[in-house]
Formats: sequence, C-alpha cells, structure tokens
Amino acid sequence: MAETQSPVVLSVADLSVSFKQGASVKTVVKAMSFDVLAGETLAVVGESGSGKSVMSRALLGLLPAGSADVSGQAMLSKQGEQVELLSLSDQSLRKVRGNHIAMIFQEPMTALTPVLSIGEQLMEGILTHQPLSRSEAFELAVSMLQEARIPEARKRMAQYPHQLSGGMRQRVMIAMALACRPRILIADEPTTALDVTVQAQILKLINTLKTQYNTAVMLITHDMGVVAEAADRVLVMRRGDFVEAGSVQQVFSKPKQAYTQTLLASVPKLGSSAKQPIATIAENDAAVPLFDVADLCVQFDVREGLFNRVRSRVHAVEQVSLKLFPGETLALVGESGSGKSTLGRALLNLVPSSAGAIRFRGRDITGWSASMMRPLRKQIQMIFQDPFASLNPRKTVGALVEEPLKLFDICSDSERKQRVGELFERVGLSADDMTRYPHQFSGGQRQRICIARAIACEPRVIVADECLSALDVTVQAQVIELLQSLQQELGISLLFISHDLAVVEQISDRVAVMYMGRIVEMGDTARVINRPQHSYTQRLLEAVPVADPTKASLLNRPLNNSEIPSPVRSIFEEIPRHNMTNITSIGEHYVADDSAAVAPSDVTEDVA
Amino acid sequence: MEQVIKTPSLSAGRLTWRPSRLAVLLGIVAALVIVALLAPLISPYDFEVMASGPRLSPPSWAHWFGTDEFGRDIFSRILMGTRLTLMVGLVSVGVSLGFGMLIGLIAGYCGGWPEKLLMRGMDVLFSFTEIVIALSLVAVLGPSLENAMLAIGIAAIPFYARVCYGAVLVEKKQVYVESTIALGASHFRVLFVHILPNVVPVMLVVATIGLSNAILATSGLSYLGLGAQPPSPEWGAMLASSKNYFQRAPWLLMIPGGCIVLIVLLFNVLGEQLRSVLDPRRKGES
Amino acid sequence: MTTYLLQRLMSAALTVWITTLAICFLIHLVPGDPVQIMYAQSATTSPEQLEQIRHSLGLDRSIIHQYIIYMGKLLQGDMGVTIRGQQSVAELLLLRLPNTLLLTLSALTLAIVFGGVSGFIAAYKQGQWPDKVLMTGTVVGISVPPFWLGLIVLSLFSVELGWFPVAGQGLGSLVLPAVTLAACQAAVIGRIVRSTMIDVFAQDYLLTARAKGLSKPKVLLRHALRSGLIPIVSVLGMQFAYMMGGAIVIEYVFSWNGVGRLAIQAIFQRDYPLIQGFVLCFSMIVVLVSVAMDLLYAFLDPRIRQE
Repeated sequence: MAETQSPVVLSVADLSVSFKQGASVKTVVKAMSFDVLAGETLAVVGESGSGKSVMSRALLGLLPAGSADVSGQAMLSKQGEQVELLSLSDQSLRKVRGNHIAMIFQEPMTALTPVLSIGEQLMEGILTHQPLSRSEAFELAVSMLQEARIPEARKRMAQYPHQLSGGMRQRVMIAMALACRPRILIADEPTTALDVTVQAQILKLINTLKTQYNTAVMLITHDMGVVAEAADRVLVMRRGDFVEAGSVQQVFSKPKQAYTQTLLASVPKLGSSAKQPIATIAENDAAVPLFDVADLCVQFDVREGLFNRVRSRVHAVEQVSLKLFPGETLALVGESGSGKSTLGRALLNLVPSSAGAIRFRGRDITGWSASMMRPLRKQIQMIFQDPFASLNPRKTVGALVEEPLKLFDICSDSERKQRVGELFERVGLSADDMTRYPHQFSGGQRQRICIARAIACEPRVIVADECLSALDVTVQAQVIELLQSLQQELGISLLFISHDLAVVEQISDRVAVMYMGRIVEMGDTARVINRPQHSYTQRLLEAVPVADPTKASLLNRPLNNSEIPSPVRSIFEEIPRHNMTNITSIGEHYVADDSAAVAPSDVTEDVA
Repeated sequence: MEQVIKTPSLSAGRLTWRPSRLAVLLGIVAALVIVALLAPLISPYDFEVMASGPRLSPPSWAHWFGTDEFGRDIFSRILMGTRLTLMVGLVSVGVSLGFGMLIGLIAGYCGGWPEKLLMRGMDVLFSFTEIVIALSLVAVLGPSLENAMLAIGIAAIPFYARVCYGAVLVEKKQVYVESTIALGASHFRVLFVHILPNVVPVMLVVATIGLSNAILATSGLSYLGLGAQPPSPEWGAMLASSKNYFQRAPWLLMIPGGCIVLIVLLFNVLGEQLRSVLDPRRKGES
Repeated sequence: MTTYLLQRLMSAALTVWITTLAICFLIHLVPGDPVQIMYAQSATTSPEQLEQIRHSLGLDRSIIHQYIIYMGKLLQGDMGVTIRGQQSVAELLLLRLPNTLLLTLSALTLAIVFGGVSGFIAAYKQGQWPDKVLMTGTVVGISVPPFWLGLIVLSLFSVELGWFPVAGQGLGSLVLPAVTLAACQAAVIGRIVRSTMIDVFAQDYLLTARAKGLSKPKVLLRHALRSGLIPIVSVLGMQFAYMMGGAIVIEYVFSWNGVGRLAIQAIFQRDYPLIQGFVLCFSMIVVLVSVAMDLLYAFLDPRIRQE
C-alpha cells in the first residue's frame, strides 16, 4: 500500500499528444497531469479511444516520430537527479527505456520476437543496461524467469516464443521488464488477452514483484474489476481528457464525475445481480425442450508425419448432455479452449459432431447436411463475437438485415423494406441507416445490426457466441438490456456463450460450466455461482476480479498456478465415461464426478 | 512445391471515389482504347505502305516518329501497334483470368479432393515457370502472335488460380461467411452473393497488373521472333525487324520500346492505384 | 524438421516425374506430323528417311511404350540426340549450363543486394521521400522490357562507348547482361522486401525491443530483419526461377552462350529432342533451387527447425 508521503518517481504535467492525419490534426491526449509515487500501483482507466495507451507510449518516445506531436513535461527522478523525458534525445531516452522505465503489452502472443530464443531476448536487455559478462547476464536471466514463477527456467532459455503458452509469454515479458529493476513498470492491458484464471496469476505476480523490487506500476486497463483488485490509486480518462483521480476507495465509493458513475454502474458485479429465474420452465418436466443433447462429442483430427496420418485428436467437445427449454437463457461458461464455442456450432451442425445425438423440438437432427439444415435455420439463429467481421463489408446493412427475410420468404417484396425499417427501430437504430455500410457504424451499433438480422425471421433460439466481449463496458450494458427486452417480448430461448461470469449471472437462468470439452457443473445460475461444487468452478469463480475495492481479495488468496491441459489425445487413449450427479432435490444442480481429479492441490502456490 | 503467395485481403475496402488520380488514369486508358479502335482512320499514312517517306528519316513534322528502313511511317505503325498490344493484353489476361478464377473458386470453396487435385496441379505448373510453359507451347504450336498471346495466357493460369484460391480461402475464414450460413443461405448464395464480390476487387487489381505482364511477355516473344512476325506493327516485332539499324537510326530503338514502357507503366500504376483505393487497411475504421 | 524436409523432397520428386510425363507427351500436341514439321526446312529428306527418323524417335509406337523407352534412356542420362548435327542433347546442355548459371547467379546476387537494400530503406522511411523515390524507380523498373533495356545498354556501352565487348564469353562480356538482368529483378525484389518489412515494422515485438532500450541497429537488424528474412526467403526461390526465365531473353540479346539461347535456336529449328531436354533441365534446376530454399527457410524459422 502506498503511503501519502511516498516520493514521486514520475511527475507528468500538461502532456498532450496529437497526430497529423494529412491536413487535419487529431488530439488524442489533452493536457494530462499526474504523479506516479514510488512503489504504488496507479491504474489508468478508460474505454477504447480514451488515449490511455498512447499516453504511456509517449512517455517513452515510442510513438512514430513523423506523425505524433508530443508536448508537455515528464520529470523522472532517478538516483537523486531529475530528468525531463519528453525533451531527451533518442539516444539518452534509450538509457531510460528498459532500465528506469520498463513496459509490457497486451498481446503476449505477438510481443516477443519469434525468431530469437527467450534467453537471447532476456539477455540483450540486461547487457544493454548493465555492465555484466554474458555468463552473468545468463544467470540473471535465469533467476528472473524463476522469479516470474516459470517452471524449468533454465530449459526455457533455449526455447522460442512459439513453444510457450500466452500466460507463460506474459511471464517472460514481466521477467524481461523487471530484469534491470526499473523504477516504473508500465503495464498496458497486461491481462486483457488472457483467460481469467491466468489473469489472476499474472496480476498477483506483478503485485508480488512490485513489492519485492519497490517498483511503481502504471497499470493501463479498461477493466474496473482489475482496478479494484490491483490498484492503489486510479486515474480515469475519456477521449483524451482527464476525468478524475483519487485513491481506489475514493473513486469507487464516491465517484465525483458523471462519467465515472456510469462506468461503475455499467460493470456487472458477480454475486449482486442475479436474474429471477423463469419458474415455469425449468421445473415443468412436461415442457418439450427445444434442444435435447445427449453425449455429444466433437473431435478434430490432428494429422502428422510424412503421410498425414491421424495419430491424435482434439477432443473439443466430450460427452456433453444438456437441454434448452423454450424462453430460457442457458449460459455456457468456460475459458478459451474449453469447447464452448465448438459446442454452440455443433448444435447448429456448423461443425460435424462425431458421436452423440442432437434433438431439436423432438426431431433428431444429428449429422444433418447443410441443405437439410437450411429450412431449420429460420428457427435457430446465431450472433457472433466480432460484429464487424460477421457483416459482409460490401453490402449495405439494410441488405444484410433483409437477407433472412428473402431467404425464408417471410413477407412480400413491398412489405420487406418496411419490415427492415421496423427491425432497425426495434434494436435502437434509425430506419435511415439502412443504406449505409458496416464500417460506418460503431461496435455497439454493429452488434445491434447483427441482432436485428438474427431476430428478423422470428427464431425460437438464438445462439450468442461471446457477443458482448468485443464491446466497451457501457455499450455492453446497453446491449444486454436490448437482448433481455427482446427475449421477453418474443419469447426467444438464448444459448449464451461467454467467458464473463458476471455477465452470465446477470442474464442467464441456468449455467453450464465447461472445462476441457466437458460440462463439469450445470444448474440454476444462483446455485452454481453462490455454491459452486466442482473444483474447477470454484477456481474459476475465485479468479474473477471484483469491481469493489472493499471486497477485492484476489491478491491475498493462494492461487493455483497450473495451466489448462491440452485437449489433444492419442487415438489409442481410452476416454473415461463422464458422469454427472444431481446434488439437489429441488431444481437442478449437476456436478461432474471428477472434481478431485481436475485440480490437484499440490500445484497450489503459497502466498509470498 | 508450396510457395507462399501473399493474397491481399481487400474484404473491407469499399470503392470510395478518389477523382484525382484514378480518374486521370482511367481517362488515359479510355483514350488509348479510342486511339486503338480508330487507328486506321487517324493515322497519317498507311502503316503497311513502304516508302511513304524517305528511308530511315528522323522524326520530323511530316513523320512525327520518323520512318523505318523501308520508309514506312513509324507513327502510323505505332498507332496500329497500340491496337495489337491492347488486344494481346485483353486476350491473354482473359484466358488466364477466366480459367484461373474458375479453378481458384472451385478449389477454394469446395475443398476436399477437388482442392487437392487442382492446386497440386497448379503447383507443378507453377514450378515450370511461365516463360518455359509459354516457350514450350509456342514451340509446339508454331510462332505467331495469336499463338504467343494464347501461350502467355495459358502460362499465367496457375498464378491467377493461386491468387484467386488464396482470396477465396481468406474470405471463407471470415466470420461473415459462417454467419451467412448460420442464417440459412445456400452454398450457391454464399459463394456468388457474398464471397465473389469480395474476391473480384482482388482479381481486378491482379488482372490490371497482369495486363502489364502479358504485354511485356508478348513483346519479348515477338522480339525473339516467336510471336508476331514482320511486317506486323507489333512493337516487339518492330524492334526485331529493325535491329540492324539502331546505330544509324536510334528512334527505331527508342520509340517502340518507349511505347511498351509507357503502356506497361500505365497499367502497373493503375493497378497500384486500384489496390490503394480498395485498401484493406480501412478495416476497423468506424 | 525431418518430416518437413521429407515432405518437400517427395513433392519435388513428384514434380519432376510429372515434368517427364508432360515432356514426353508434349510432342503429340503438335498439330500435324511432328517429323514432317521438324524436317520441313530441309527439303532433301525422302519419305523413307522420314519413316526411319520416326522409328528412331520411337514415334511409331504407342504413347505408353514411348514413355517407357524415354524414361529408360533418361535414367541412364540419355536425352537423345539433336535433329541438326546429331549431337548428344545431354552433353550439349551440360556444356552450356555453366554459362547460364554464371549469368543467373551473378545477376541474382546483384539484384538481392540492390533490391534488398533499397526495399529495406524504403520500408524504414515509409511515406517519406526516399520511399517515394525508390518506389517510383521500381515501378519504372518492372515496366521496362528486359530485352529492350539490354538493347539500349548494348548499343550505348558496347557499340557507342566501346567499354565492353559486344559479344563473347569472357568476364568482361558478363558485366552487361548480368547488370541488365539484375536491374529488372532488383525492382521486383525491392518491392517484395519493402512490403514484407513494412509488415514487420508494424509488429508488437519491435515495440518490445525498443522499449527495452536497444540501439537502433539492434532493433532493425536483429529483430526486424531476421524476422522479415523468413517470408522473403520463401519468395526468393520463385525469384530465381523468374530470373532463369529472364536469362533466356538476355542470353539471346547479348549472344551469351547459355542454355536459353540454345533453346531459342532449338525452337526455331523445331529441334524437339533438344527442346524436351531443355525443359527438363530447366525445371529440374528450378525444383532443386526451391528445395534448397525450403531448407534455408526451415533453418531460419524456429517454428519448423524445432519440430
């Protein structure tokens, strides 16, 4: 915890950044002033386009010299002297970069040079700034990898980035950044690309090393949960402007600005917003389920060797059984690689299933070909994660929304235009927008267009695959509202695929937790989230950052440092039967029998 | 031999009109086409008539581009040659584009054994290189302008097929294709209503630059004596027939060659310009 | 990596085999009687002689039979004899091949050096004047017919100024054809290098390297160039093939005694055995180079090397 009397390590005054775009000048950061204190974590928060990343890069002179115009002052105090960063020559700035101020980035997959070994990349930074021999640098690099809790550190030195997982690469980045004991670590969305359990590990690692080395951390993030868990002080930005700053407790409990209040109100908080379950459905055994899936498996062949023989398979979905009832929302929750998206696609026969049965309204549709499925698609629609990618860029949005009406001959040619207009208005857009193209809309508007397209033919089921995760949190809240009102109005069932437990809690009646292709726990949302029984569900829930500094405890809890194992299995391997037991007599709460096997306790790491 | 071909993804670019450069270039192309069509009417002399002026006379008011070793008016021959050059480009690019796109679309969209068979075949042809395929075909069919442009068109099919195949694969992976299938559209509709309009701009750029390559290759074959035969006013053949007079009459070297450079440059620049107008980097712009 | 290489070798072998098939059946695509066309220029041949030639070329047997005989001879290194002069095709090609390789390799070296450097500079200075100048230069470069450039260079430096011999096989005679061939290819290579390096310069890992405080040369050479080399090498193999193709015309213009010039003479004379030999020899070289490039590629890319 930072004390108020901690010395200032970086003092920024009137920092502005603007970009020249042809004749026009766009100011991205406007007269920002703030201090970073020794050993504290300062969170810089803002939605996309707030200028937070640009600001951090400007401090180290990493913006393109030709087009970016940086003004203002940034005083760094190092070894008792003050250095003004923004007026330094590139050569003197190089002595600061990586030495006094280090940086890590959002995308661990692309942040390491693919053709150089981990060791080379670690050592070159050390050798640039410290008067060490190569062997001393090697030893320091190894010890940094060990500090970053990377198993078999010595062996990793000779490995290349592609041999490590995303979480491991981010650990390497951290080891690299802290090797020269910088005064400040700028972490630009360091956990955004990672799964929630890995995110918890990385946040904790940054915090541990921060305390150990007395390094200040400038944590740039959009996630209020991460802020509440990890930061001492907060700086809120919006479109390049300063909004407000203060201690975490202050900003979360008494936000002064309206924008901060909206931002905080939009964040779904786990354990506080349970949806009232639709009582009539889940308990009514007589109701015919829309989807009734039994023991569904989806496997992908892995071809290897000289003759491309199948030696192993990816078990993307393994022995999944579930039912989806009319009007309800069932959430599929899991981390990347858990098979939740594949399961969603398999239900629609968009990917072939390899075993098991899918029934839709009592009819067996397992293995139906594309042409057999076509008439059925009127009743089952899908919404995707990236609304821009899922709209053909060369069609007007009007034509795109009209397409399902044409395909299923829903209304006459003359009525169609009017119907498209109504759909636009229903999802909160104007009918005048019909003639525009997808790239002329914002992310939230595009997702509304995708929703209009999905409800055009009045389906019974919508499969929504991570349809909120590409959106800013305030936009996300609006789209959730839209989805819920549409569901009430049209009685659509929703299969909601998501990694975000807080959103799931808000929107779904029942939830199924997936891990390595299997459903490990399934039941009424409130039950599963408040009283998780399976060890994986527990681990997952523990890792979710809570956007409330009074309840935040992520950094104080012991954490499991294990990674999700690979779902690739040899073709000769015997796959054990997957059993689930209902542990309650009222309603449902199924738990897989393998709870103990999934999370061995011996990998749990002690708190430093 | 699987060479990596970079397929430009133009999926997100929309044709936004940039009147200045593109319009000027298209204007020049239109003017060239008109000149080619009207060549017999606007040329000052008959391109075939010998001794329409003194032999080997340098450019003058009477003969803008001078005369050749038979006293033929070079300006008139260049005008007629424009016609041949544009025809060569259109025919050979037409052949390569037609077959190449057909193969690329089938292989890219169908997958499975048609993909393996077709693209494997294209790989083998590709490793022969275009010039060897063209030379072999000319060797078999005999030297003439028609055979040369056909041979060059056929020789370039593997390249067009690969580019089209790559573009289809890029589009096929896009989420909008999956979302359209999930919407209930047929394969026919997905391929022709959704994928094709996104592949056409890529092929348009490739074909424009392909015009340049076809013109270059045909003039080369003609110079070697394996394409158009003298007294044809094809520019490469003009260079071949007067190659003994370059020292005495440098305009015989400079003018037909300069014309080839200019027309090839025109299509290369036009292709570049089209590419930047249909720029994929507009993606994500909101 | 062994698997990768074995797969490449297998596909190379398949390509060569298909080439032999194509070559053997090529002659049957000739409209009319190939033997008559071949001997059309010498009117003295009698019908009996023609029949004898047909027999000696095996053209009176079934296609499959012909292919078996052709392959049998080929595996012993026998590519037949030329129609004019009855010389061994294999010997003739082997005699001329070193000249072609000398020309192509020296041109390729020049093209890689000049194209590579200018492409790299253009990418580094993207949008600024060095980029604009260099890229204008390369557009003109790819628009100039190589044979015409050759003619200009030849009449300027050999005929007018007399700096280099007009024809011949010495090192002095190598300069002009090599430079001409290199100039056109340098433009192509320059454009490839530029677009590859622009992609690389936009990568996150260069930001990481800069944020570490590395010096500019280290960032540019160790991180950027080494990463860019992988995609560049993968297209360089094909560039060599194009260069071999370009050499055919250049050899003709500069009277350089390589296989390309031989091939053009063979086409004029309708010397089918020689043409067949040339096509086979040419595609085998292209396949060999491409396998070599795959090897280099595998060595440069840790993702393949480590497998």
